[in-house]
Amino acid sequence: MMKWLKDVWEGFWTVLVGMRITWRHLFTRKVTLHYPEEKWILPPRSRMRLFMKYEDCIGCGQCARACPVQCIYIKAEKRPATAPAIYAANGQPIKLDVSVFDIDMSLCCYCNLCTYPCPTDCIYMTPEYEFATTDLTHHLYRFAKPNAKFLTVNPKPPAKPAAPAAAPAKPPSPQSPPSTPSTPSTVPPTTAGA
Amino acid sequence: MDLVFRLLPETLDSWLRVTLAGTLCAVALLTFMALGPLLYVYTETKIAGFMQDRIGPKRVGPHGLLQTIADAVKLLFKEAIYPAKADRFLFILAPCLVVMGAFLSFVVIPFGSRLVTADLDVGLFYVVAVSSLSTVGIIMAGWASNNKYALFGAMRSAAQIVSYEIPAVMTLLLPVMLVGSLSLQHVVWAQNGGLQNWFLFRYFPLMAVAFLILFVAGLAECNRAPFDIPEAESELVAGFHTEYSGFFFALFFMAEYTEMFVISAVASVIFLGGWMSPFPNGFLQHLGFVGLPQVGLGPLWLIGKAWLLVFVMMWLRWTLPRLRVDQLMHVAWKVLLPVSMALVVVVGGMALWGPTRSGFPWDRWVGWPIVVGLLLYLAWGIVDAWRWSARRPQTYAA
Repeated sequence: MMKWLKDVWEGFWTVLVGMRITWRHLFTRKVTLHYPEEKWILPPRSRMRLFMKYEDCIGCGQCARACPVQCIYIKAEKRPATAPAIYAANGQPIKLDVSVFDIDMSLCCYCNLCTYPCPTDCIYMTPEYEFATTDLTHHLYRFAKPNAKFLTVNPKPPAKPAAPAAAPAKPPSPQSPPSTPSTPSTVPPTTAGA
Repeated sequence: MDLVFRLLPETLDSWLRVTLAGTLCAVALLTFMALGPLLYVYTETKIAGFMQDRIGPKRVGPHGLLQTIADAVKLLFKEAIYPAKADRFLFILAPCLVVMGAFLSFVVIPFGSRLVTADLDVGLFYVVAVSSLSTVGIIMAGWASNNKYALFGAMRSAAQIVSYEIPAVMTLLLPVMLVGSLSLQHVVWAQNGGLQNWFLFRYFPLMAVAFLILFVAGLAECNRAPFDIPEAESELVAGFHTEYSGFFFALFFMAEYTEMFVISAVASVIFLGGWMSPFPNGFLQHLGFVGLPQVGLGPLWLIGKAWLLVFVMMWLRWTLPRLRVDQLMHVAWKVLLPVSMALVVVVGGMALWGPTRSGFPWDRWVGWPIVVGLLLYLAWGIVDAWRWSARRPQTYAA
């Protein structure tokens, strides 16, 4: 009998305890984020939609090779010798005509691996995340522009007075055969930093 | 209904007057019943959201006020799908019966001293009899659906309602013994004179326990959480209304909310003074509300008390997890039933014995302190919640 009474009392009392908790939560501040009106402050270096600055691309294709899901498609041809010289923003000469640079964001796994090898830092992740579409093909972003305005003057000329000083850095760029895009990738940052 | 009857012109034949008055009352009650769920569903979603620190519906209309209307319109325009092997006739009849069971109880609920459709002399008995009609409807729905989950739900519902009706009826006996009448209007008049005269505070701890039993049993009878095992979605998909869609599902939904209101209204008529004001007679007039007619406020008091109990039902739903079937039976047969039977004996004896015929001597003094203390405690809970949420860091919102 005492056990029964204790049981009933505990049942009743614990219900009241639970009701007390929900009563308080009825009046606490809500945690809901009113999404389209309010937005999250994204953490620094958050990885969202990829962007590629076409004017800076030298067509080396390292990003496409680094991509684990093969969502970057590049088609590049050797620039004819008669064409005017053009340069990327960090002073690297662009020797390939990039006719196609497509990124399929519906395939992208947001790993950020493509941005590290880029010699000109022209591909990077933006904090832009609201790009849902009703059609999956709209996620295929075509970055190649037919009428892009390239830099025809080297923004960072290879330091005329310091030419002898930068002697070890210089040789790779004139010789740079199109078959070895990896050698200029390591060198220009060092010249830019020096 | 008498009121409407008297308002109709006397030149009409009396049979026509009776029919017209009845029809008008039915239409008024039906409107009340059909519009009620719009409010209840909105408050329920909002309360559910608030209790989970969310904000609930927000997009449709200001603060999501039109959300329920959108839902109702959606349900009404949806296709009603009949399972191939369902018993078509019973399948359609079942939701109608469930709604009818909920609706018929409205007939005897007094909304004011004269605002009652029919003040039957067997009022309480009628409520008990009519509300079990919905059980038939639920079993019919489960059987006609030709679906094992629906049948499971219906069987559980039958077992549950049959068990919980006994303690409910036992507690309904108490006011009948005190008043000496089954008429709900007589029960209300017996609690005249303010909050301290309510049956909730008669024989102080005893009738309060009876009220709790009636409330819990009522909760079980309208299949609400924590007693919602007939439609336990984690086990039975949706229980007895698994196969229903569109309008018929809307009927079940409406029946559930209507039944909540009816049970709350009956409980407030029996224990919370019905349409009587909680203040002593003449108190409001004394405060300066001179022109307020006591009768005119009746519906407001009754609906307010009923909504308060409906709110407690929602509060419980978002507080407690669902009971297991054996726990459900344990509560009904081993706790509620013995206590209610003991109450019938004890309160019946008290009502017969001379010195305690009209309650214990402290009855008049416990009512107000308890109610005021409860309100103060809840208000303190609000203040505490505000203080607590002011301390909580908000790092994510811009």
